[in-house]
Amino acid sequence: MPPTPCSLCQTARALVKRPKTGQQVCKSCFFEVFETEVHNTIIEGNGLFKRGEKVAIGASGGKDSTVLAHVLSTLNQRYDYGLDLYLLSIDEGITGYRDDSLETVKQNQVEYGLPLKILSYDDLYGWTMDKIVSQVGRKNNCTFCGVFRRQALDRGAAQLGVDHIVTGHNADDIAETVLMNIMRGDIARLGRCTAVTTEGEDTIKRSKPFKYAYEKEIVMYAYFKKLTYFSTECIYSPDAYRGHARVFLKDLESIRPSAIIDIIHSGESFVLQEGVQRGMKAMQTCKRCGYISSNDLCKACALLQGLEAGLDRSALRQTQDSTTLAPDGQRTIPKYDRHATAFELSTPPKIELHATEGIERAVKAIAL
Amino acid sequence: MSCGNEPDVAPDGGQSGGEALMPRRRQVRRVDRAICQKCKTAKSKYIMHSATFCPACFESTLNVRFLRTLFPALRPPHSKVKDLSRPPLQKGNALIGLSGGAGSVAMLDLLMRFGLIGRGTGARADLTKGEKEVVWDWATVVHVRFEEDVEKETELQRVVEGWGLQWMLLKAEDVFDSGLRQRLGGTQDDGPELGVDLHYHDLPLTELSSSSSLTPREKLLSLLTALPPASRPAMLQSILDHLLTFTAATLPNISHLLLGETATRQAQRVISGTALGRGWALPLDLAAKRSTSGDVVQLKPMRDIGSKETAILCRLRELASWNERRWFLGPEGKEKGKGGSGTRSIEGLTERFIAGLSVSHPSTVSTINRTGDKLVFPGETGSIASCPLCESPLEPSALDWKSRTALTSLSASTVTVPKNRKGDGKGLGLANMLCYACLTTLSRSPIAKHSPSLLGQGSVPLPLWVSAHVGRGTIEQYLIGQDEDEE
Amino acid sequence: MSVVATEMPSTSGLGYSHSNAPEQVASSIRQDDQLEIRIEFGGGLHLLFSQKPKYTIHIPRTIPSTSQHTNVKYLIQWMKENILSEREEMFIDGDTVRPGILVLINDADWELEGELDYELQNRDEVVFISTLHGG
Repeated sequence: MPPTPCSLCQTARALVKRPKTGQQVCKSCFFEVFETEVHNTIIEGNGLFKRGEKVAIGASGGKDSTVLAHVLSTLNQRYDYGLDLYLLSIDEGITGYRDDSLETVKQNQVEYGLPLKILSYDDLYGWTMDKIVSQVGRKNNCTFCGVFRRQALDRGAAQLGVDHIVTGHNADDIAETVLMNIMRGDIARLGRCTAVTTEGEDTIKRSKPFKYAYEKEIVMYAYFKKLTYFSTECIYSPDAYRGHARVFLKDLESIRPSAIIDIIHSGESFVLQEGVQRGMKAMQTCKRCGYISSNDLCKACALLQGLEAGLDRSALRQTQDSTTLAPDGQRTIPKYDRHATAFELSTPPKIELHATEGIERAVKAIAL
Repeated sequence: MSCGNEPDVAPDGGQSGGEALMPRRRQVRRVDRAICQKCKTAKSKYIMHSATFCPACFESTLNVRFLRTLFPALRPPHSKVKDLSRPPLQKGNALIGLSGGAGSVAMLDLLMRFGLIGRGTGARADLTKGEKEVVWDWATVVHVRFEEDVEKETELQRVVEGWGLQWMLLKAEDVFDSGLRQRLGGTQDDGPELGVDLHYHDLPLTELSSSSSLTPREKLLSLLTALPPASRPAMLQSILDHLLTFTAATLPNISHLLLGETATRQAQRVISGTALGRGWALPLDLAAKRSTSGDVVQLKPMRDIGSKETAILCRLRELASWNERRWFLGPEGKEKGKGGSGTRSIEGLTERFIAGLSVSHPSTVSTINRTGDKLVFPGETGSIASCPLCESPLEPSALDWKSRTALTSLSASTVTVPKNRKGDGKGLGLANMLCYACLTTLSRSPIAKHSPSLLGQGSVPLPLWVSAHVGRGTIEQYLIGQDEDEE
Repeated sequence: MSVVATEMPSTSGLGYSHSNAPEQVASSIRQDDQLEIRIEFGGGLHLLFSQKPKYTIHIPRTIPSTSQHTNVKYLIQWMKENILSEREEMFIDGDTVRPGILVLINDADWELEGELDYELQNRDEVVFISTLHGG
């Protein structure tokens, strides 16, 4: 059988079957449509970025953020967005997972020549995830991690002096979140989870340039571009309920590959009853650390207080109506200053590049 | 993302975790089990929303839920009447959709036991003797056959005629039968019969020659066969919806179309509608009350009752029901096998997903429906164009959105025009007229085999209502030259 | 162990054969080490059981090669091996029934009776009703 020609350029040999469209395309056409789709997401409407904007890429060392760093650097040059890009990493303190993946981020720093900032839970909160899990157990530890990471990213961005964080959330993540929010009746989040950018009052803008990019295509892109990334899943068990949604989504995708993007289309079309979207309380700042909060205490301070008091899972229910001062002897989070400009960036070190096992794993993950 | 947890976290952290909003099943405590939690005397037999009921309290609870859904929809606007008092006699008759599933079987039984429907004699109740006035003078009960099931149809007809109602049997393939309108008493003529070529993205239309010797059944099979298996249920759903609304609008003197969709089915619609890309028009699909063509009002009085409850209700009332839908899903053959039946469609997967989740989280259905109830239709019904296939209002620019987020060509200048087609620029196919979800239904995977259809050319026949909708006046511009097709 | 259909099959039984049931006897003379259980199907489930809506079966009082009293879990296993005639996945999920199938034991929701662990008594009636459409 002769090789199948690319259905886009009709000349080169097709190497990739695009999950999103079902088309069989060659390597260079795949790069082109993948990057152009991201570019389309960026320029849609009023555009995601302003010229000259400082933008931090939330970099975990995983496939999504690694490919995002690569694609965003590429597009920034190709289309002259005029962006000032940074890498921002959070060290949650998970032995055998984050310590290794941060090595990957450091390699990315060299490869793309982007300045890197790393913030650790340990420095910020005095607790690593390893320590948190040993106290609260595996169930619900993701709640601590999610709350702490969100605030850590904002603090890192403030320290870098950027107003905009981009994350590697892909189409699969967003479709899954749409389903999750429907299934648990979370109207407020259902209304905003498909937005490409979320920006609250006085919060740092967050965007998802990969909102239409399929996870499978991100893996293929990394594979064909031979990008270095770390592909281990977090060792602490994920939310079981979310697991149901993910399995369901994969089942849907297997019988109709466009289902992922179709769900996002539905999510974007939803209009929610007036009133329910204003479910969020008015925002104020945390009386203890100054971070944005809808209560006296921000969630992170409340969780931290629970941890410091030696509580197990019940730390999750720590009240957010509290006094300004933490109980004696407990650690607190340093004051948050949105507009601080304290700079201490590591310059790209000269380390030898070597392909990590991430690529070998990626190869196995791709079914051509 | 390697960690999927973050997108849910609000600036504030929020109350994350599904468990908080969707409680797990609680083991009913032993002291609670034995007796009914409503009357507190009789032995309990059923569990509904974590509470236990004896058969009598179970039935009365469901009765109230049924009437509380149905009655307010039948009162004049701004009526301040109490929920459970009887609404006035309606101006027309009812058309009842009866699939034979527990939802519609239980609905028919409830309607008749409450004496809401008369025998079409026009006799009025003598209120002085404590008689209650009917709500509809008469009803026609329509069953749509997808696959023949004599046992089921005979039993349904017996029940319907036993209540003194009119029985009507329609077939799915009637949407290809130009005689249907006349059979229902309509007069207007359908337009020319169109076919569509599913092999091209823009879905070019062709006019089918009237000499086509295919029977309506063969046309239906030809259309279904050409669709990917995952798309067939959506097409069949459109056919069912159309037959019901068309019948309601065409039969003389019908004011209401009553459907037995349960809360469980409703929750499935929320999820599968989302997965099919129907988000925009979804609030209309979910509405308890919706105006359809010909000033008919469509009602779903069972939408607050779950499928488990309707199954128990049928059992209590000794009513036969057939939940297993045996829709013809096209040729089974080689495609069969993977995961068993019901798992090759979005709808089947959704049903399985919700049923599975409901075992550990009994509030799954009600939570999903709470979400669904808060969705608002963003357009204005009536004032905008509708999709020729599903007949729902048409959202703006489905095709644009699709072509921007999933590129299928390198750029406009390099668009490859299929060889055997001339002169078809953009905008001349059915694709441009469809809503996002129906466009997805008719999209084939580009590498799917180029199977010759029964018509001997690339086109498959479209249901007559689609042809009629596309419209005589505009048809010329959508057709590609007939001679080009005959090669 | 025997199977007696209380209604004539509309088609020939596929999942078992009468001639293979040596002690096919009237229920009145069942043996003491057996339980007589009535099974009924609703909502179209009978299509998976040789199209017969009702069965009266005799199964051991204790689960074979154990001393455990026969429970619903064993009954489901027994049904799968003896009377389920087609599309197993439409009825069975692991060692229980597929989610969406309602089970009534003596007309009460099985959730009230201990589900799989319910110990079957002589002349119990177990009803399986599908609430699923398929599709």
